[in-house]
Amino acid sequence: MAKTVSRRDALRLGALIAAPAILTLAGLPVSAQAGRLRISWWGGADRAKRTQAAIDAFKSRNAGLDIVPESVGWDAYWTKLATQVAGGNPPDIIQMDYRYLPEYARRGALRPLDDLIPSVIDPSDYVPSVIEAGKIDGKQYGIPMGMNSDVLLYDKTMLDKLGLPAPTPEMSWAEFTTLGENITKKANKRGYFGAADPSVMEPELEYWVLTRGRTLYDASGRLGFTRDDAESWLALCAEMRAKGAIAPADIAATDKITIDSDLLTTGRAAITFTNSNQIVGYQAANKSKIGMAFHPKGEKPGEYLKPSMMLCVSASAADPKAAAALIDFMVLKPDGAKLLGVERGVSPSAKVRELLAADLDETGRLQVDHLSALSKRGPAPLPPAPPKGAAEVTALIRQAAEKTGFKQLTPKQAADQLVSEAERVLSKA
Amino acid sequence: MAALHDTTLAAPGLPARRRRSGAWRQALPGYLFLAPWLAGFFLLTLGPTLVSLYLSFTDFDLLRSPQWVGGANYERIFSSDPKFWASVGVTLSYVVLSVPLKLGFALAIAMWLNRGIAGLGLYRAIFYLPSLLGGSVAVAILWKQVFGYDGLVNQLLWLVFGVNGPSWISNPETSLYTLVLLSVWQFGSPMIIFLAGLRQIPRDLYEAASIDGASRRQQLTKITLPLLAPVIFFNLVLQTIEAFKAFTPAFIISGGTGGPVDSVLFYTLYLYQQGFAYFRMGYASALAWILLLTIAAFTALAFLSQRYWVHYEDDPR
Repeated sequence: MAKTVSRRDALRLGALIAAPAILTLAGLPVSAQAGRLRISWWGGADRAKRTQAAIDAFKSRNAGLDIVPESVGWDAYWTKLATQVAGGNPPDIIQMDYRYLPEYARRGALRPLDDLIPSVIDPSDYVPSVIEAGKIDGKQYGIPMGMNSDVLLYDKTMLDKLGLPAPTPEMSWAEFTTLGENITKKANKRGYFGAADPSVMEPELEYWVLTRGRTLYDASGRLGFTRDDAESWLALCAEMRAKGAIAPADIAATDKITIDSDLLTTGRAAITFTNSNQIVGYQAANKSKIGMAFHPKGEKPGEYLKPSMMLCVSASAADPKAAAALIDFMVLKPDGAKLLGVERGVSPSAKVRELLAADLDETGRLQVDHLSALSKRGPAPLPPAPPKGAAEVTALIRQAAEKTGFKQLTPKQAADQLVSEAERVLSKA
Repeated sequence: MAALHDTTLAAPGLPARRRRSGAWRQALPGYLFLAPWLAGFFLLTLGPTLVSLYLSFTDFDLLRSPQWVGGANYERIFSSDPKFWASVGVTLSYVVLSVPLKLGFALAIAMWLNRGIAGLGLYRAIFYLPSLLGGSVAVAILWKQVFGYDGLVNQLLWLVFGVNGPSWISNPETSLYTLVLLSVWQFGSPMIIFLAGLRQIPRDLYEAASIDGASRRQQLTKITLPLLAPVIFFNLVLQTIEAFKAFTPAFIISGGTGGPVDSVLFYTLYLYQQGFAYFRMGYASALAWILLLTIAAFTALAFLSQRYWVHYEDDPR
C-alpha cells in the first residue's frame, strides 16, 4: 500500500467514485426542457398501449420532438404527481381528474389554456356541461378526454347460463334484490353472489343521494347529504346482504375497487358497479361477455355525464404550445382520437363521436349507446367537484359499510358516525 | 496501517501543521472510500430526518409551501384522532403477539438443529428461506391466497374436518392473526443468531450437569437460557424494532386501507395514508417522530432491563 496518497491520486479516486453518480444524475428526468414533452397518466396496460401509439403518431408528424411517457396506477399516480409538483419537476402534460382539478388549478400548478383556444385546441363542438367542467374560476384548465357515467356491469354469459334476465332500465331496488337473490340461488356456488356490495363504494352512495335530490358535497365543500340518506342506504344494503343478493362483508372486503380485485373479475359476483368506460378494462380481464345496464331506478335521476378524465398543461411547461398541440392531436384530431378509441370514455366532441362510430367494437358501442340513452332519459346535473378531504371521506364511507357488514354497528349508528366524522374531516381540511 | 499511522504521528521534530496534514493524508483514502456511504447518510437519511422534524410542526400538503403551526399536529394526534389510537392498538397487539412467538419458535428450531442432526446445513438453509422472502410483496400476495376464501387453509379445513372456514384475511376478527403468523413464519434470521449463540455454550457444562443428575429441563433453565441471554436480548431488541416498523404485508393484504374496519391499520400504514393518500405531510411527519421516539423508548427500556436478566460472560458481577 502506498505510504501517502498524492493529490492527483485523490483526484483520480474521487473521479472514479463521482463518475457513476454524475452519470446517474444525467439520466434523471430534468424539468421543463424545450423540444421535449413529458406526459403523465394513470391507467392499466391497455391504456398505456393506446396512448403510446398516439404519441408515436404525433412524433412522426413532428420531427425533432421528444416525448417521454410516464404511467402508473391510480393510487400511486397522485402521490407521484404531488411529489413532482412539489419538487418543481412536473410533467408538461398531466392527466387530471375532476376531483383534483380545483386543487391543482388554484395552487397555480396548471396553465390556463384560454389563449390557445381555439387556435391550437378547438373544443367548440363539445357537450357544453363537459367542457365547462374543465373550467376553474372562469379559466379553462382542463380539456376533457371523454365522458362516462356510473353504471352496472354484469356477467352476461353467466346470466344467460342461469336463464336469468339482465337488469332492466326501469328496475326498482326491490326487483334488483330479487334478481340478486335468484342469481345466488341458481348459481349455487360457494362464495358466489348476485352482486358486489355497493355500500363499500363511494360513487354508489353518491348515486343513492342523487336519487334523493342531494349530492355528496355542496358547492362550498360541505357535506351535501343527511344522516337519514346515509342510514337508508346502509339499511338497504344490509337487507340485500341478509337476503344473499349481494356479497357478504368478508368477501366485499377483498374488493379494493380496482378491476383486478373487483368481485366480477375474481368470480364472486355476477353484477358490479363502476364507470362506463371501465368496461374496456373489465372485458379485457374477463373471459365472460360483459354487459352494461342502468342502476335500479330512484325518485330522481342519479346517473350523470362525467368528464372521465382531462388533460392539463403544467404551469412550468417550456413549450405550452407544443403541449397543447399534443392534447389537440389526442382528443380532437381524427388520427389521434382513433388510436385512443373510447377506452377513456366517449368523446364529448360530436365530430369525433361520429368519426369513431364507424369502427367501434362491442365495448365501445355499449358505452356510446348507454350514454346516448342516458342523455335521452335525462341525466342528473354534474355535482360540484369534491373538496379537499374527500379522499378521507371516501375511506369513512367504506368504514361505515364494513361496520354494518360485519354487524359491529346498526345502519343508524354507522350513518351517525359517518356523518359526524365526515363533517369533522371537512371542517379542518 | 495502524503502525504507519503511529510513526507518522510520533515523528519528532515535525511542525504541528505538517503533522496534521500528514494525518489527514493518511485518513483521506478512508474517507474517500466512505464517501458514497457518507453522502447517502447525510443526503438521504440524516437530511430528510431533520427536515421531517421541521415539517412535523407545519401544515404541508406538498403543493403549497409548509405553514408553521407549532405543536398543533401533535396536539391533534393526541387529543382528537381516534384513528391514531386505533393504529397504536393494532401495532402494540402485533408487537406483543408476534415478537415472543417468533423468538420462541426460532429458539425451539435452533435448539432442535443444535442437537447435531445430519444435513444441518440443508435444514438451516430451508428454515432461513422464509426470512429471505418474507418481507416481500410476493409473499404478502401468497399469504392473501393461503388465508383467502378458497385458500389453502380453508381447503385443508374442508378436507380434514368438513367445515367451511371464513375468509381469514378479510375478517376483522382474524386478519391481524394471519399477519402475526406471517411474521412468525419468518423466524429464520433470529434462528441463525440463536444457533450461533448455542454453539458458543461449552459442551462440558452439559456433561457436568448430567453427571450431577440435572434433568433436561433444568439444563435448559439453568444453563442454556442464562448463557444465551445476551443473544436473546439482541434478538428481542431487533425484532421489536422490526415489528414496530411492519408495513408491507398489511399494505398489500388490505390494499392500503388497513381494513376491514381498521383491523390491520398498522401505525406505519396510517402514517402512509396521512402522508400519501390525504397529503398531510406535516401530520404524517409528526406521526413518524412519535414512532421514532416510541421505538427509542422501548429500546431504552430493554437496555435498562438487561441488568435483571442478561449476564455477559466477561461481566465481573
